[in-house]
Amino acid sequence: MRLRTILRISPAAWLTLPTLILSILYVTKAIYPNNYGVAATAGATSSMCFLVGFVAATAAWEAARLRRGGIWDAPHTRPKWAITIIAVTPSIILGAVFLLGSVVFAAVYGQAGLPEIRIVVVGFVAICAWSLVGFLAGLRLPMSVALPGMLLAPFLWFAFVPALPAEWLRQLSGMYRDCCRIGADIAPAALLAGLIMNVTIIAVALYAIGAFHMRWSRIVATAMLVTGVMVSSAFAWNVGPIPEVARDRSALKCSMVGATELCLWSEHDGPTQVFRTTLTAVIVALTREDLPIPGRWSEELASPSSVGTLTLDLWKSDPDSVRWSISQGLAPWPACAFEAAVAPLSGSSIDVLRGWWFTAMGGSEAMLQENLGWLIADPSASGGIPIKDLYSTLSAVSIATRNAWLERLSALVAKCQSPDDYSIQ
Amino acid sequence: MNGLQLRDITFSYRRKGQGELAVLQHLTWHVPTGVTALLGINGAGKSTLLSIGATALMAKGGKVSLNELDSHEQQTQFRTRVAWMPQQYRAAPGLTVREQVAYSGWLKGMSRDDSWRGATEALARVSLQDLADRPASELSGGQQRRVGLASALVHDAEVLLLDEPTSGLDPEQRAMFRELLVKIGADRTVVVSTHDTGEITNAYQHVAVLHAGNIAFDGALRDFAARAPAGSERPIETAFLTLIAGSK
Repeated sequence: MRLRTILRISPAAWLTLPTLILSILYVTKAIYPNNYGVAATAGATSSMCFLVGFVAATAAWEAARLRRGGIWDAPHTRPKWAITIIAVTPSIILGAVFLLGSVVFAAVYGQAGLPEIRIVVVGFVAICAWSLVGFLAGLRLPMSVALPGMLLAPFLWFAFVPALPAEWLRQLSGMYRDCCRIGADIAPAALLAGLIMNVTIIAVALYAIGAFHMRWSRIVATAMLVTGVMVSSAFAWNVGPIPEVARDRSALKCSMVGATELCLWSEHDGPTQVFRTTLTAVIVALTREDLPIPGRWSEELASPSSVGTLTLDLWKSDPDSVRWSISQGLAPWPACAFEAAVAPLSGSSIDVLRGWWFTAMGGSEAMLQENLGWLIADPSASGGIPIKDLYSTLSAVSIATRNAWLERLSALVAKCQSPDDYSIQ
Repeated sequence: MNGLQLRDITFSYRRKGQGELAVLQHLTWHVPTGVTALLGINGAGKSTLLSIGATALMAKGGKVSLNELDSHEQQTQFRTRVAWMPQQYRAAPGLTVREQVAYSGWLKGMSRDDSWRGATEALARVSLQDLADRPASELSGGQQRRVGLASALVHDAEVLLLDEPTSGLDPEQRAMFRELLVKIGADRTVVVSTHDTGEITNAYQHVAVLHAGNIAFDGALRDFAARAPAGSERPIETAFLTLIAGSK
C-alpha cells in the first residue's frame, strides 16, 4: 500500500501526532528532572499505560478492514505474516513515535543525558506485542467488541496489574515506571521478564493469526502462553515492587571535604550541578558547628555495609532541596517504623528533628514552610513550643547542650518514640 | 497434462446436528483452455468447486494442479497463476477503486509499482477507469463486481475462476462482460459459474454441468446445445433440464 493511501485511511497515522503531544504532556506531569537517564527513560515509559490502547485499537481496525473486505481469507501469494506486518506497521510506528518522543522529551526535560536503551527496547517489543494482539482481536471479534476491548485491555495490563498485591506481576508488562533511584540500575531480571513475556505474546499472536482454522491451535497457543508466563515469572519472582539493583560503583566520584568523604554519581557531579558545591558548603558549616555528622556521605543505595554512611537521595537540583534531602538522610525513618508490631512512629519527633537539621544547614523559610507547614502552624505538635522558637533557642545554647538535645531526640526517634517535652534541658 | 486439473475431489460441510453434508464426491475435471460455463442449480457446489480450484478452500480429498504445479505443495506458484473472484465480492472500507485493485495485485505477489500500473490497465479493461479514484465501497453492486473482476485480472493470471460475475449487472454491463470474456479467454482458461442458462452465449466455448457432487457434462457448447431436442427455443436450458432430469 502506498504511503499516501496509508496516511489517508489509517487511524494510526491520524493519531500519531495527537498521541505524541499527549505523551509529552504526560511526561511533564509524570517525571521530575533528576539528571538520571535510567529513571527518566523508565518514567517516560509510563505513558504506555494509556497510549498503547491506541496502538492495539488501530491494529484491530486494520484487521477488521481486511476481514470485512474479504481480503484476509482470499487465496494470496503473499504469506499471512507479511500481510499482517504491513497492516500493523502504522500502529507500531504510532507506538514507536510516542514512546521515543516521550523518552527523548523526558531526557531533555529531566536533564538526564542519554536515554536507557534497554528500557526503550523492551517498551518497543511491548508495543509490537500489543499491535499483534489488537490485530488478532480485529480478525476474530466483531468491531463493536474488538475496538473498545483493545482500548481498555492494555490499560488494565499496564495500570491495574501493578496495583495488585502480587508485585512481581508488574515486571511482566515491559513498563518500568517505578525504576530507579540514582543509586540503582534497572534490574536485568525485570528486563528479561518483560522481554520474555512480550516476545511470548508476539509468538502466540502470530501463531494464532496464522493457525486461524487449525484444530489444535487453541491448545497450542494456550500452551505457548502458559510456558512464556512461567518462564518470565521465574525471572520476575524475586525482583520486588521496584525493579532495581545497586549500581556499578565505577561511576561514583568520591572526594574529601575536610574529614568527610563525599561520593556522588557522575550524573550529579557535572560542572553545572549544584550538588557538590551545596553539599560541600553544608559539610563545612555543620563541621564548624561541631555537629555529629557521619564520616562518609554517599549517593549509593543504603546497604548493611553502609553503617556510618549518610545515604543521600538527591532528587532535585536546587540548594534547598539538596538541604532537605540531607536532613532526611540525617534523620531517616528507623527500621521499627516499618514493623507492624510496633506502634507507628508519630510524625512529629522525626519531623522536628529533620526541621532542625534543615535550619542548622541554613535552609530557607519557604522550604521549611513547604515541608513542615503543619508543624509550624500547630505548636502542640512540638510539645507546646512554637517550632521556630525552639530552633532559634537551640542555635543560641552551648554546643554541649544542643548536642545533648539532638542525641536525646535521635535516640527516641530510633526507638519510634516521641518525647513528652521537646524543650532543651 | 497441462491446464487446471481437479482429481478425485471430495468435500463436505459439517452442519450442526446434521452431520456431514457431502457437496463434491470424487469429482475429476480437466478444465479446458478458453471460456467455460460451469452450470449447476443453486446449491450444487459451484462456488465450493471454484473455491477449491483457487485454494480458498481445501478439499478433504483429492488433488488440484495446474501445469503439474500442485496446489498444496507449490501453493505460491499455483496461486500466482490462478485468479478467483468470489460470489460475494466486498470492497475493503476506505480504499479507492484503484487502491483496491492495486492491493489485490500486491497480495498476488506483484511489486507495488507493478500492481499500481496493473490496476490502471485492469480498470480500463472493465471500463472503470473514470471511477478509479472513487471509494470502492461507494459504488453500486454492479460496479463493485467489476472492481472484483479487475482485481482478478490485475496480475494477469493463466486461469480465471469467476463465481457468478454477472449477478447484479445491468443488461449493458452483461453485454460488456461477454465482450470482455471473449478477449480474456483468447489465451487463457476462464471458468464462469452460473445457474442462469440465459447467460450462456457464444462467448463461451465450453460447458460443464455440476450435478449431484460431480461433473455430469463436460464438452463444447455446441455439443451441449445439441442434446436439446431439435427446434427447442432455448436449447441450453432444455439440454440442462434434460441432463438433470436424466440423472435423477
